[in-house]
Amino acid sequence: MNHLLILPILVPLCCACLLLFLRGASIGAARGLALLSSLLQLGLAGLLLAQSSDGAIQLYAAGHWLPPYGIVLVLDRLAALMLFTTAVLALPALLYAAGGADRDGKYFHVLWQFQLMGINGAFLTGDLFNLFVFFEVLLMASYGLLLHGRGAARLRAGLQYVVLNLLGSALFLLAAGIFYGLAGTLNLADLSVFIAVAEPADTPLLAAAGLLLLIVFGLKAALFPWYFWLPRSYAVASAPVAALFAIMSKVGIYATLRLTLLLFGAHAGALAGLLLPWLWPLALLTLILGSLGVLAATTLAELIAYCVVVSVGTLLSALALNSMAALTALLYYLMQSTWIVGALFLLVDLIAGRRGSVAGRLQSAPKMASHAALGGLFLIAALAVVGLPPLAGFVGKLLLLQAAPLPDKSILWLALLASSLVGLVAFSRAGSVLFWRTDTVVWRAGTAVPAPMPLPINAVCAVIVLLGAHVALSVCGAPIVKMLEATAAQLFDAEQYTAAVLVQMQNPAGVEP
Amino acid sequence: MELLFAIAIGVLTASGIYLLLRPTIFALILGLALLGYAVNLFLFAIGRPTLDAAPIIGAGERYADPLPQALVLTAIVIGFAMTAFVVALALRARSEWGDDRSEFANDSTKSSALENGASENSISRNSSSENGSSEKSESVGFENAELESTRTENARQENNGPASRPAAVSDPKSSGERG
Repeated sequence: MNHLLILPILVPLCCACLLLFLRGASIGAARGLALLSSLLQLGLAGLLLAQSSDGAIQLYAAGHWLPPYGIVLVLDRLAALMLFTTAVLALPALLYAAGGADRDGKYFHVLWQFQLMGINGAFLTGDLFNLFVFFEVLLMASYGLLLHGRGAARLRAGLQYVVLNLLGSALFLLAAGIFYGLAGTLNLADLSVFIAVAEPADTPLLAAAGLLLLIVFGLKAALFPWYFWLPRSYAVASAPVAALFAIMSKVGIYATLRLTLLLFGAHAGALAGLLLPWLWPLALLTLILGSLGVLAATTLAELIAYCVVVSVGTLLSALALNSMAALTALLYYLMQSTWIVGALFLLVDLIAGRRGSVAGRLQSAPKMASHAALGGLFLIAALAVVGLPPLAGFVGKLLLLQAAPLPDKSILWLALLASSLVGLVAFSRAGSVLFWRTDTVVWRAGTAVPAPMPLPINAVCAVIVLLGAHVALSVCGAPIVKMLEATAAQLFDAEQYTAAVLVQMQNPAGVEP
Repeated sequence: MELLFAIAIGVLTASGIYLLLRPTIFALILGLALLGYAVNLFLFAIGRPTLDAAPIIGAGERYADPLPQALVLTAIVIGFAMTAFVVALALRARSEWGDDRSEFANDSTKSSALENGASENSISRNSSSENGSSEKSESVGFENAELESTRTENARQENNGPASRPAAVSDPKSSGERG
């Protein structure tokens, strides 16, 4: 049994507990410990990604309690990829937070680590109820992080976020209950096998449970009728928290992937492809409404938050295409959009901090300090998020369009290209307001001229690391796409997953410690 | 028994959803709590309700399924913690906004009022409470309830807007002390 599998959960957990004891100590010690934990997680995620690249599916039975009684962690290519994406995002975001955002509250670093623990756990677990528990862990931490620092806007957005997610949790439990009542198990592999051979009398209930789960995961991922909380909460969160939240909506996407491909995939008999007819229109609507939001945004943070919604729509419409090529495109787009949105949240905060009282509102302001450097970074980030060549955003969209057969899926072409155009318009408008339309308003009453301040080195490093990761994705496109093709193939082969998990479950020798 | 159970779950869910759709945060919290009870009962029922049997294999002819009980326990703990959290959040919201409405619908007007007038709100609230105390000390000399009530009416009209509600809250207390 490979004990590395549980470390992405244990490392942040231990770090958070240590930080709780250390809360009287200096903030420097807390920052050091948190950064160390984040570095360790990055190393671990890299190691697990390398280990999973041979295609084997590893199982970890906690406490050597074998299923069906114990609860398992499962590492396949997708889980390793998600862990890696999270770790690459979390480290620069934490570095940025160390510049002062972590002084908002006493427990910032503790909550941050619990959040990472919940996210890592959700990616690793192979059990539906355990997924619920890790969802709750990451949600509770996110409530705390979102409400950090005072402010009525944050409180209102936070209250809506909390109430909606509590409702989601209740629905999740209902769905889990239906699954357990019918199948007598909550292990994902077991459930997958059960659904494939379900009695005709059970199928309506199973379908109801599956669609309930789609609502829950759609709420987490910010799919169309349930996305209204996202722009509001992400726009009011502090910058590093918003950057970390970029992976949270991807947790919902990950869970939807598992639901669609593992539980109701092609092998599922009468229920195969249950969710696809729902996903397709909802994802397209998300894409379109998100683009409208991008166009209508009045603050920088709102603009980026709507970019998250657009990326969710793009990703889920790729999932609804239900082909290997589309899934490869989805995984590529997921990695690049997570990192670029994280970078943009940080960058935008840096820019807003240099615009005096105008802050993040898209209005002209006196010329900011470090104008050229920030402008250059914003240009690169905008090119990437809109999806212009040569960066990875373009490659992702190209892969997705190639995967959409033209005559019958032309609506996706239309929506995707239109959303890119709208993004281009919105970002060029934002960029010209921020960086060019500056000198006319210096004397307008009420706009204080911001004092020139040097760029904090850690913040710039954080933005550059995330942009660099994004550029690396574009430069090493071919080998990465090859790896993602293997991941997509493994995802489509739900029977390989279930066989690997069930064989190791029934054969304790295979999971000898 | 199954029918009773199902009806109980249904009634709890319906009441919970009705309360969730109410515009005040207090009702919202009650709704979430009721929905939580319904979900917990539902989870409890998925192992098929068994009477007079221990959740131990081999202890008797029949045994109860222990897993739903474990699930319910986890769900209760999480639900309890979350309810406490939302209550704390609602208290803070009440102290910052001065009322209990969740403002899901027309919060754009509310947000501008809050951003522009958050500081004014607290100031006027202080002044209104000062008004109340000064009126109380004067009213001892007057001992005229009618005059007093007209005066509070005037005061209420003066600080209309966000401060009107705290003023209304402070009135009964001062009048109660007078009586």
